[in-house]
Amino acid sequence: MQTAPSSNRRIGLWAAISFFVFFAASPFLCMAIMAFKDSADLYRKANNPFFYNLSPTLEHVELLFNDTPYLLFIQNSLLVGIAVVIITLTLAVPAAYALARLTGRWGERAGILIFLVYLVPPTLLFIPMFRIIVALGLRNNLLSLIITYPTITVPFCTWLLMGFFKAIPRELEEAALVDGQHRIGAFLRVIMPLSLPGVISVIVFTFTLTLHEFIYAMTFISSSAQRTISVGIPTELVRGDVFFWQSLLAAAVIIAIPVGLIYNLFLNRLVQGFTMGAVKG
Amino acid sequence: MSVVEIKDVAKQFGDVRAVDGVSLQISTGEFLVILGPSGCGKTTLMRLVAGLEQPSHGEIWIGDRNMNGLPPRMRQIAMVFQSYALYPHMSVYQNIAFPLKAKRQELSKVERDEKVHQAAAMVSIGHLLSRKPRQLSGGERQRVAIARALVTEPMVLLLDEPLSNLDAKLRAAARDELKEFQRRLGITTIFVTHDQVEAMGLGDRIVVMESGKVQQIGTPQAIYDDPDNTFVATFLGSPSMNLLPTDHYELGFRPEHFLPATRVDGSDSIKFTFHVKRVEYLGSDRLLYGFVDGFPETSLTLAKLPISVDDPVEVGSSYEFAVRNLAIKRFDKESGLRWDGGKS
Repeated sequence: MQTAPSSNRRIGLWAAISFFVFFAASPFLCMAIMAFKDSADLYRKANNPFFYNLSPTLEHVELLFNDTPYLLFIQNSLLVGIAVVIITLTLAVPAAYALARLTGRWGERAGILIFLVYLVPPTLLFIPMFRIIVALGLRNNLLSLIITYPTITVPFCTWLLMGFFKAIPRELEEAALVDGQHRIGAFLRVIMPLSLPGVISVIVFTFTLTLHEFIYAMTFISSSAQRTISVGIPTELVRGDVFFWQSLLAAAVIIAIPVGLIYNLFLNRLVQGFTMGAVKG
Repeated sequence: MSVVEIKDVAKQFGDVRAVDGVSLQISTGEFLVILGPSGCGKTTLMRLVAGLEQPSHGEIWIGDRNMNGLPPRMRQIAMVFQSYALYPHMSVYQNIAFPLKAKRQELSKVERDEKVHQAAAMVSIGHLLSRKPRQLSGGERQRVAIARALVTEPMVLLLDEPLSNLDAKLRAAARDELKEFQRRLGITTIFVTHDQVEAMGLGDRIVVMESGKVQQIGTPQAIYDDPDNTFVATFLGSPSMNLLPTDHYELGFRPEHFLPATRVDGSDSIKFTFHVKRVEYLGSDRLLYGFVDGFPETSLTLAKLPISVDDPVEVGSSYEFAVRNLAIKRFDKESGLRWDGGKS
């Protein structure tokens, strides 16, 4: 009798988990199924959209790889993403550390001010930004994205990291100073390893933003060879009013699944209670 | 020979003078305790010695070098923080090896390993080396912090209330261990605490601080028996010293010296009529609360009778009590300073 409620609870728990997992995964599932569907299958209303009523085909995936510069788009996106992540970390980490530790009361106010900048939406900024990009002669150049994306990511990430740095007890840093470190050594050997969840959050946030950002990418780049995925795919695979649905979905799912898996690797790091046991407790 | 010399050091934070003109000399192998209530500047003073703060005025010498302007890593010190500040992402072994890697780079890996094991063995945590700090109890964490501090063989060991996070029972054992340990290694130690029992039990000398200033420096006995001023007199001792205002000075005597007149040698004592208002029975002692004739009823007077003094005492009654003349201190009413030959 004792085990009955606990096994009921387990079943309930698993049911809930399964539901949410299915809920979260179903868009990817649909995309994956449809990417291989024959057009005759996809466009017939009577057919069940979740099964292959006709045998699956690689035709649309071939179209994606052979008739569009998909690999080039991926390459551009990766280039922009990695560059922006590096720039963001280089600027946001020292800025956040300085604001969290060194400037006292003004640090907090400056932090809020920086966060407010993040709240100005890109839809307001893209026209003035465009003028600047043109003036710099960077139109149709990936550099235009590499220098404008940090205007969104740096303020947000600075603010995010400030929280992580503040949560690390100052005594740990002082202990490192007493134990023979310079301020920079203490930062790199003690503060950074403990802020790893924050740094990973910054990488994930920044990279995701560069992958899906649309307005700047649309405005600043017009040649196909310089496009990133978020703009390149819709412009190549929506021709007039013809949507190449299967290829569009294939393009999305091929990039989404590996990125999702990589993020998943970080997941434990993101949620780990890392500072536990640092100080009394 | 003095290892640490603090010369007229002051530290200003904005409008607050946290440390105000402190001068101290600490000799080799000494266990010096800095004692004071919270906010008295004792931790700031220690941080100044550590180099975590720079003095606004004055000089700090360690060995024969002026330390002003030097960062903590250039001073031959080690510190145990109140929270222990163990690096949570490192194992106990890595925690202890951390200062060695930075400060003693000439050591080979094998030598370093040996030193880590020696330090760990010294505080009996050899079996915990592969654990992470979060897997340790409070007492174990404290030992790791001490091992980490001692592994570089510093000239001065700084301890910032290292016992305050332990429970009462563990604290007594840790206190004993710490003292034994310090004596064995002969390491010059500065220990900051607000706990007078710790201070009395551990210190070769005690520095009593208040509002950033040194109130008195001396052996535990000197500080207790011969307080220089009313602050020291009332801060040490539990219950604290009775202070009775007279026309010219304040009369101070400790509750344990205030005994039934029959128990005090009559020829050299002062007698009081003591009105008992309340009695607390504490097992080994009795505490009597009341007031004495000739002084306002508001100046509460306490007597602490050891169990050997079993004279019957009734609440509401008056008794003849006395204090030996030697046990009576007189303090200036204005300044609180000793009147009758205090040390300074």
